[in-house]
Amino acid sequence: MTAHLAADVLIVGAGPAGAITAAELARHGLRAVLAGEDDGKADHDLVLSGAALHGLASLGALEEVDARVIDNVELRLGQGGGHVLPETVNAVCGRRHLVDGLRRIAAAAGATRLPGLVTDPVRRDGVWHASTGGTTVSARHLVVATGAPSAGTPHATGLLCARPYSGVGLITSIVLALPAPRTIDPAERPTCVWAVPGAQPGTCTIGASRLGPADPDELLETALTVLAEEDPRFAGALPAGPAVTGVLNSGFAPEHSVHDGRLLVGDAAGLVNPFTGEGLSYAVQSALLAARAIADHPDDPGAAGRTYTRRLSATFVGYFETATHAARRYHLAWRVLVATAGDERPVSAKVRRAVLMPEGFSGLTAADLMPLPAPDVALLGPFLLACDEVAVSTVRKEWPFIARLLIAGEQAPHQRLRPAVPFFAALLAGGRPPDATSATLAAAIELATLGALAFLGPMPPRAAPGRRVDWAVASTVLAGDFLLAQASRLVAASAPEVSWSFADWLGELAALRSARIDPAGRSRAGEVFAALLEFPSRIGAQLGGASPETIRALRDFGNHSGHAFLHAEEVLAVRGERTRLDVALPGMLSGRLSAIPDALPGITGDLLAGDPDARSKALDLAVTACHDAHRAALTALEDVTHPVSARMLRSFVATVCAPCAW
Amino acid sequence: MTTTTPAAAPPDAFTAQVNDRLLLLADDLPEPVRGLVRTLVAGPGKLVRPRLLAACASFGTADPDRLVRLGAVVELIHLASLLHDDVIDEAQTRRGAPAAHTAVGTEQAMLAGLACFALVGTEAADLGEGVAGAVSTTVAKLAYGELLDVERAFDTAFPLPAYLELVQSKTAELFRLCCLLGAAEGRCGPGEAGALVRFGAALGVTFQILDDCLDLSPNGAGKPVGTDHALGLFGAPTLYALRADSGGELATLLLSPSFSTHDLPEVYSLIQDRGGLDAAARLAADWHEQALAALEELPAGGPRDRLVTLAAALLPARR
Repeated sequence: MTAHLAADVLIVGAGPAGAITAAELARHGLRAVLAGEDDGKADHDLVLSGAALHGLASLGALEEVDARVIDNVELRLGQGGGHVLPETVNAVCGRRHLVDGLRRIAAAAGATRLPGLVTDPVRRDGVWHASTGGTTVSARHLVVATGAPSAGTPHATGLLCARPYSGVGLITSIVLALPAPRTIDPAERPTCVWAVPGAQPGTCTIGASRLGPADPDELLETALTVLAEEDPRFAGALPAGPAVTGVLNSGFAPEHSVHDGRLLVGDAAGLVNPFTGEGLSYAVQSALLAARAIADHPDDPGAAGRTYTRRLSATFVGYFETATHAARRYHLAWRVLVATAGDERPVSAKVRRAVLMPEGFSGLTAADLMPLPAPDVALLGPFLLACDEVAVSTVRKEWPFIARLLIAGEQAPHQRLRPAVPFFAALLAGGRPPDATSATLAAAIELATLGALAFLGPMPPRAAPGRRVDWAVASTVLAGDFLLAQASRLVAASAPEVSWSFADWLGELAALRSARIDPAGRSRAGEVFAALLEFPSRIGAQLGGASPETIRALRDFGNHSGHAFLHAEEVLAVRGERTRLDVALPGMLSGRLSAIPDALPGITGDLLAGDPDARSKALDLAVTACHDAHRAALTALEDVTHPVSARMLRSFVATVCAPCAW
Repeated sequence: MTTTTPAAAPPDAFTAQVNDRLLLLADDLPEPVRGLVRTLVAGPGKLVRPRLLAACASFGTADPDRLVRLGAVVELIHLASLLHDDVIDEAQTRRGAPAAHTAVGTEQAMLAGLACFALVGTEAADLGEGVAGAVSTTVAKLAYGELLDVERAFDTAFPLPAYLELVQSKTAELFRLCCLLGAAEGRCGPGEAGALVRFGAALGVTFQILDDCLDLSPNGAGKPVGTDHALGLFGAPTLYALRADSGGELATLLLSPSFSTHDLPEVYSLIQDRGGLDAAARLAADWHEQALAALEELPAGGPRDRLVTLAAALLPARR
């Protein structure tokens, strides 16, 4: 006699992604059945990134999984010592702890757990049927969370291994290592390595991943060799448990995330970083997205699937969305990451974060959020979402690693400091509500700003001579050309009347930067940044039909905001804090980005570091200049009569200037 | 319409006008970009692209002043690409002079390229929405071609279809734009314009394949031999030969860290033995035939003869 269970959603696969889907569905009042075997896998520790922590916190799961916070990520790219990635909060927990904890949360929320092998679900008359143990289950929705399929897309499939070790001196950091290529042959594939400290002192888990065919023993051996090289903490490492191996599947593409009515989540959807093997943060986020899409359309599985695909597409960019050129673009990304390892220029730092870390920060910004009242968020949010959609879809097929700069599963993207915000507010100032064309133009402005950062930052030093591609310089030129050309194409196609001004803006930026780096030139440091923000404000005002006085006011506002942005960067850099552009003080000074040397000739990073008086003088200069620019921007806003526009812009410039709040 | 407009300048006068226009445009650029552009314009460039554009326009009636301005736009796109290519490839010379980045540094050379692309954008916008749209589409494809070109460096397994995609994006796209703009300016009908565009695209592919052959054999064409091979950029003859390189000798030699132009004679003979040069010549001939077939669709007469002559002058010199 078999029991029958009628449910709303059947979730096959009871690992982290499945358990989170079940928990979130149950929280929305849906009957969720979490089916699947207990994996007999040996236990090991794994990393919970900031994005994973955020998702788990939303379920109240943090205490339940017993996570230990680790503040440091040591990044070791290529040869040479590692450097610490600033402001990354991660945690570590045991895999079994995590899975058990999440299943308890799902059960507590009301989901039904059916352990055991599940028969292949079949759909009859719009209802899925499957059986497990002595129970048959029927459900309208089906979620597949069974991990990576062994026969995935060949170009995106590889091997993952992890194994516990003892005799290791790793305590306060997570280590992520991407070794340098041994040859110039693009067919070479990297072995990506990570290590996390264990709960017991002296223990750790070492993991490795590799695309293409690989042998688990050899992979772990390589991992240990890579780690032990130049790092005595790993010299005495001995295996302390069995190795766990699995399939690496990095083949995520939004259009393949719903397969024949099944919503695929986590590894099953190919949501794994091929450079780090990290998939947990994507598992958490995709599980929540799938559950919410179903909760939004409980009676319409088709609509739930479409919603899920759309939200995934807006949240993640895969590494191998198209098979063509995927291998070559992966090799390009690896070589660029390694070649720019010691490079603190804005674009390198941002690319590094966007490609390696599960959560990035889009555009110009770091973590600052603009405080905005709810009605303004409701107005701005959809516009920025549309803007992101255009920007990402413009570049994701051809250059996914760059698209990851634009969206990276971050929280509250509409409250970030980004040029589309003054553009939107300026459109509003004329009283004409922004439309879809404006969102395309906003996307062009944001793509161009990213491209401009490639061209307007200091150049990377030339690579050592030899038979090689100078990846750091080449990728700077490629990324700049690619982004600016795509931006110009969007403008010509969507707002041809702006084509001339847009090109003229790019010429102005080139001229300003050229004059700035010319020893005989007399260009103020802030002018490039002023021009970067003046254009979106001016063009927005013109397109929005604002009066000539308002246009002038908004131009002034953009200019002053740009100056304020630079001076706020200086304040952060002198204080030794992370800047929005991810560029540290020595880079700002040597790259002639900063205005400080104009007032304190001959100043260098070393001088400032060693001389508290000079430091406080530099800080005073920057803070004063930032305040002046802030005040001037606010004065300009007095001529902007549209209340919402003025409020948004005040919040924008206040957030820009937040590091030097008075 | 097959008559040449009476006002159209003869070819030599036309290229002189394009040169003047380029110099005039450069006047609006700040130093050191202005000087860099002037040096390039004064160099021994053949203005192939503006001449192609003008020849296509001669199938109809075009405004001579606009033709000169359009000629300057397509040449400026080419110059901007050269500035950036030389930064990427670390080329030492260009058109007989030191390459821009060796003279003014990497960052200024990169900004100079950006300034030229920006100037292309304003000039194209001035010439009308249609021009701005076509130009921006082409520049985007060129940028993608630049990416394809870098990421395939040292790829001895680079597949032929990918090579053709690269050649089409990197080289043929600009030839195609010249024909597109020329046809539009001459107000050609859709049939003629379509044939001209196909001609330009096929001519561009032929041109690049033959250019790749040139990297292998000293023949007095003025281009330093072996540069591309040293950079790991393997063209059609080499890629064909690599497919027949069962023993791996050619691949090993090409990937050798100590590879230099001294190895070229051996590379040449390995490629020759594996039939690479013959296969590349056949591929070039195929594309040349496609170009000529597109011309066949156009009415016989002066304009068509002009294109045949232009193609002939461009291609055999490079064999």
